[in-house]
Amino acid sequence: MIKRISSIIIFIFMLNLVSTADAKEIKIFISIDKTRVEVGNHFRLTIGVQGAFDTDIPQITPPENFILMYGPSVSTQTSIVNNVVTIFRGFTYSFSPTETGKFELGPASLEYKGKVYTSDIVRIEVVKRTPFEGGVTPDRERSKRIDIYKRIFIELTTDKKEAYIYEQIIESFKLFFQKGLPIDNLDYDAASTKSFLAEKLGEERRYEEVRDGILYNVIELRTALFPLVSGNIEIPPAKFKCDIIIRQQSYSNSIFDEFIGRGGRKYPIERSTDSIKLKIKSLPELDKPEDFAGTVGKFTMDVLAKPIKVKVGDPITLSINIRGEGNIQTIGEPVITPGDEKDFKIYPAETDMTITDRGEGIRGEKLFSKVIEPQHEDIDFIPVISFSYFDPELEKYKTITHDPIPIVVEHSDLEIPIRFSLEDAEKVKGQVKILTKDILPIMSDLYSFKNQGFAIYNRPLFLAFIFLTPILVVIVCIYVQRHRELLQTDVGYARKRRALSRAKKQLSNARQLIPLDKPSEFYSTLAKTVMEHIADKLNLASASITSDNISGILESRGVSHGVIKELKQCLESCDYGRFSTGQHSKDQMVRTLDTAEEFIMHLEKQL
Amino acid sequence: MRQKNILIFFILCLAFLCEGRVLAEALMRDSGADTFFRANKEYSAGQKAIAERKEQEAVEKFEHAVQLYEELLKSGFINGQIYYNLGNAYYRLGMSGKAIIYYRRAEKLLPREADIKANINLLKRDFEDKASIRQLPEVLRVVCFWYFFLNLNEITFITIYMYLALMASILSFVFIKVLWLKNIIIIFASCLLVLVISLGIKAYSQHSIERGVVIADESKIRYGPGEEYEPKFEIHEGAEVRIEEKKDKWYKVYVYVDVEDLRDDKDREKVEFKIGWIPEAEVGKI
Repeated sequence: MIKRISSIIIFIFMLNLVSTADAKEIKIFISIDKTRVEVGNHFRLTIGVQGAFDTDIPQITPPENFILMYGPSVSTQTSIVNNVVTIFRGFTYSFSPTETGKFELGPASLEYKGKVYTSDIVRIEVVKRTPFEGGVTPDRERSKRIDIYKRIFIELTTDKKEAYIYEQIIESFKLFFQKGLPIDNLDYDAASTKSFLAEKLGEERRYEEVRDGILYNVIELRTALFPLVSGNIEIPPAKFKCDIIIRQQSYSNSIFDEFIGRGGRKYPIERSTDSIKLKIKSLPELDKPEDFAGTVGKFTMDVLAKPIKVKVGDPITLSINIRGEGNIQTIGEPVITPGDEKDFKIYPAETDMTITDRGEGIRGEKLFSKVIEPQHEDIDFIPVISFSYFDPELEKYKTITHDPIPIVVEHSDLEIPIRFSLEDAEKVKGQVKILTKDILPIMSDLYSFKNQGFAIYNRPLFLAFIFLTPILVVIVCIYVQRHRELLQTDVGYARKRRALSRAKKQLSNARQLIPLDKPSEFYSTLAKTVMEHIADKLNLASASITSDNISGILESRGVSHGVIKELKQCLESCDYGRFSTGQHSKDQMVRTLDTAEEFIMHLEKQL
Repeated sequence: MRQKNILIFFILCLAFLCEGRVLAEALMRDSGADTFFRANKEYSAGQKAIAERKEQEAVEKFEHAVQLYEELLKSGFINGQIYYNLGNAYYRLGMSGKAIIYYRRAEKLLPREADIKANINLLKRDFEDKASIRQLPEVLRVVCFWYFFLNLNEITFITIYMYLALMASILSFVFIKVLWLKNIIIIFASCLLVLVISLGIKAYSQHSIERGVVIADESKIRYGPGEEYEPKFEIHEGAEVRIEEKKDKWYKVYVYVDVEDLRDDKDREKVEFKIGWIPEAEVGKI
């Protein structure tokens, strides 16, 4: 209901404003919240526009060495005095100067409805930054408006500037903010500690502290640092961000701001600390005990042996508790030094670490549970147990030794070495407990015992034989099979391949006719053989080849003139022998046969 | 009929190759079995002496067993069982580094033996340096089972048989033109391709990459090959390394164990921190 009423009232006011604002003169002025500011501090600049609520943002060019932190933050105020409505719009900027000197800010300009309005200028003096603690002189009148830098600041400190490697250093981060200063959205970016082992010390501490007459709320975060390397190490600055909620000074003490709760404005601020330089010293080599395992701090040692009456080979559990201040994680194992190594069988220790206190530094204890087994009856004591550490306060090594613990070792009747459980932990129901861990037995399988040194992959000749032989076989088989297929399917191929053997057979028949003295039959067979051979080689019908066209056919197939001449001579001799009536000597027949044979062999090469 | 005869001939050839190999192995086996049996007996006697708490006797027995196993290896008889048993004997003698060397050698020859892996894991648990070798995903082990299931020789033999089978099927297809033979050829060719790739990778990883194990109790990894170079870090017995180079009596090695590196990230990019030089005598080759 109240909201509705207020909305109606605002609406009426706005109508009024529209009707009256145009009639008023526009005024623009500029103001700053302080005339003297330290380098790096902030100040606020407000450009006020009076007389209109629908203006653009006024233009201002700040000096180059002024960093704009935020802005503009726009606020609008209206007031009615004697029925006269006054409209005021404020544009607030926050700047941070980076250099000292006297500077002028402004004028600000505004263009409204084609007319340009300009403001006056303001002067500001930027002075050197003074340390916070000593910056305020006692006689100086403390300003009612405390610098924003003094309202909230942070500090990063360490309890020592010089330490030994692995020594505990307490780092403290403190946030101071003026009591009652409302802050929100706290964001802490811790300093990097990559050269350290860091352990957080407890929860954050909250308390009040007065500094320079101002009461502050303090939030403190503490961390224990253990340097891992020696030399000059720098802890980089820590950073902190938050929003300060500052109630805006109202020009009209508007009841609406109070009523609706809009009086506050968030100002984001960021702070960072200085870096911290630490000198980390190496541990001295002088008088370093042999059993020193890198433990630094202050420690005590308690030893408990249980049971102290055992049989040979029975386990005795030694509980060695190292307690103290320092890095508990890096506490090394205490050393047991038996007189004779064969006196005891010593098992590796199991450890349990507990941090008991994180208040003023890391305090805690590390429990080493170690099992030892006496190996003969003549043993009367558990040997001396020693533990060495470096005390950074005294700057020397210290060795704690525990006196020998008397034990009684009796003769064991057991011939077979039964190893008992290494731990006294309770057996979980339904779970078999492993008593001891040992390697698995040797292999003695003679069936699979063969020489595996015969590495087939190391014998290239054998591999080449294995891989090439099948390939050659396959190639040969493919060739043979193809040949067989062609003989069956390709008549020309078959005739050509068989021509020579057929010719040889016929020549042999002709040769048999020589002694029978049948020249006519001989020459006829010879001529037929030659013609048929040519027909077979060229895959032509025998009838289509005559003495007249044979030269042309052979020439077209690329047969040399010498061979053709040879053929002609052969055929002429045959014709002469067949058709002449005269006597034919056997020598002549043999010569003709040789010519025919030579021709066939030459033709074989050329076709 | 003739086609059938050719097929039978090839099958007989394959059978002859298999049988010939088996016979050759059987002949060689007998010579080494006797020494192996005696060495095993010595080891068992050493084990018994431990149980009876006769440590001196146990040491002698194990040393004798080591001697016999070594003799067998020197004679050229190589077997995964010998390596494994030798690893056990060295472990009993307190030489865990040497034990790891022989277990790794045994693992190459007997990749299916779970006992070897169990012993390696047991030993590694007690080592001062913790190894950071990347474990292969289980899915890969299942999918490429043959690679992890078979040793190099076995993969080679299977590859040869697959090749011969492929050739036989091609040959059969030349004479008998049936379609299913074409499918068989494709299957055999694919298997052969996979096997050849596996063989190549396995041979490369086992023979081209030299690995070693630190056998000294404590060994300093130095910046250079010589005592005059500053030590970089220390590793201990049993730590596995990859040998990258040899210079004089020094090995340049990459260590698989975790090394605490305190340098800035910038420096770490420039120099590989896990690489350094180690004396040859302090490393045993796998």
